[in-house]
Amino acid sequence: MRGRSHEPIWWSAFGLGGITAALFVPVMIFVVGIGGAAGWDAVTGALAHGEDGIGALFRHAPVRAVLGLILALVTVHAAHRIRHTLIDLHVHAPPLVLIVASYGAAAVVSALIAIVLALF
Amino acid sequence: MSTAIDTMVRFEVFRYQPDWDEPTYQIYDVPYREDWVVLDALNYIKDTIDGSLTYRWSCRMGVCGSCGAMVNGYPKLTCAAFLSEYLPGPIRVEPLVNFNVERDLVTSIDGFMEKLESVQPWIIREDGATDDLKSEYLQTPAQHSAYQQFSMCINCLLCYAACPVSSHSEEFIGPAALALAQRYNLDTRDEGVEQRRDVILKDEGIWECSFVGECSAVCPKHVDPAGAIQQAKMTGAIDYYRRLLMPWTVKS
Ligand code: SF4
Ligand code: FES
Repeated sequence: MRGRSHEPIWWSAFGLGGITAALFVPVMIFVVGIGGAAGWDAVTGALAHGEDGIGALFRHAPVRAVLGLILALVTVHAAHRIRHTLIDLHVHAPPLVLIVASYGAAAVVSALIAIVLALF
Repeated sequence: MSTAIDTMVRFEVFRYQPDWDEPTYQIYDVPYREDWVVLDALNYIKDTIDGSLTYRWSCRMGVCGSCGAMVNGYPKLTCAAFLSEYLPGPIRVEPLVNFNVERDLVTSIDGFMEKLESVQPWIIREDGATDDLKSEYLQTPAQHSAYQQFSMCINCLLCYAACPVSSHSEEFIGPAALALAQRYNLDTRDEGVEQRRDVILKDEGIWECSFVGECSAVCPKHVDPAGAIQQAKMTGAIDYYRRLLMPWTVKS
């Protein structure tokens, strides 16, 4: 089809990130940020295997993998929103430059998050 | 508040005539009436102060969609904008933004008419039977309510004035036309989805929309064009991946 847009790729990543942000981030903050920090047994005890504190939670590789995935999706979501906001604010840049800059930045941030999580 | 005829409200009205070099704002003082809307004030100005002021209106009751203007910077039907909401004034009236001005508050809507036509906002039948007046196409209330909201549009174009994408992209099909495309795509009597697809699924179709949602916020008829575009994006994304991953399942 002539003139077909490839925007659906970005839009669906944006949508997935949006749903992730709306569904998981509040739960994450609640469980890890509030529950974990307050030292609820249900949060720290279940996964700690005798170790104490919230840090124990992150010594489990699957926990870090899921956390990384959630943060990466949310980052892409933010990048898409920022890209379109820049266009709406009449920032005149070639479309491809904006695409590379915004999703590229999201990729870099996601890579940094992955490194931090891997080194934890 | 009682009707206070002795109170005056100041109007700053955008004026531009084709033989003028520059647009200007003209000041008019209009008596305040509790039951007056901005359109009443414009009519007062035209009848008693300045007959050259030019603007569109017809029904005076939010039906014809011709009286849209920026009232204090916000897209409004002037026949639905009560003076009481803008006291003590001044009230600034300007033509709808994102359109070219022809004269004073009158804008050119040619571009919109072309966009509207491009989405073929009418029932398309593959059997061409729309001309056959003996045919009936039945619809359940549920099928009707799927598109009913999107069919309430009066083409007032307030949504285009509110849309940040329309402010930078002249080609963007825009909220009202896309909502109408969705209105017919959702109509069970219609078979024109394929014919509208190319126009809708371009960048200048639904994909330029950045989902700011102001179109739905300003719409006097609660059409919710932003919602229509989101629905179309979902269908469009499914269509995109289907073409990409299972090309044998799509017709063209
Ligand atoms: S969608 Fe609403 S704001 Fe836009 S033209 Fe139609 S009635 Fe007016
Ligand atoms: S005059 Fe008809 S909608 Fe305002």
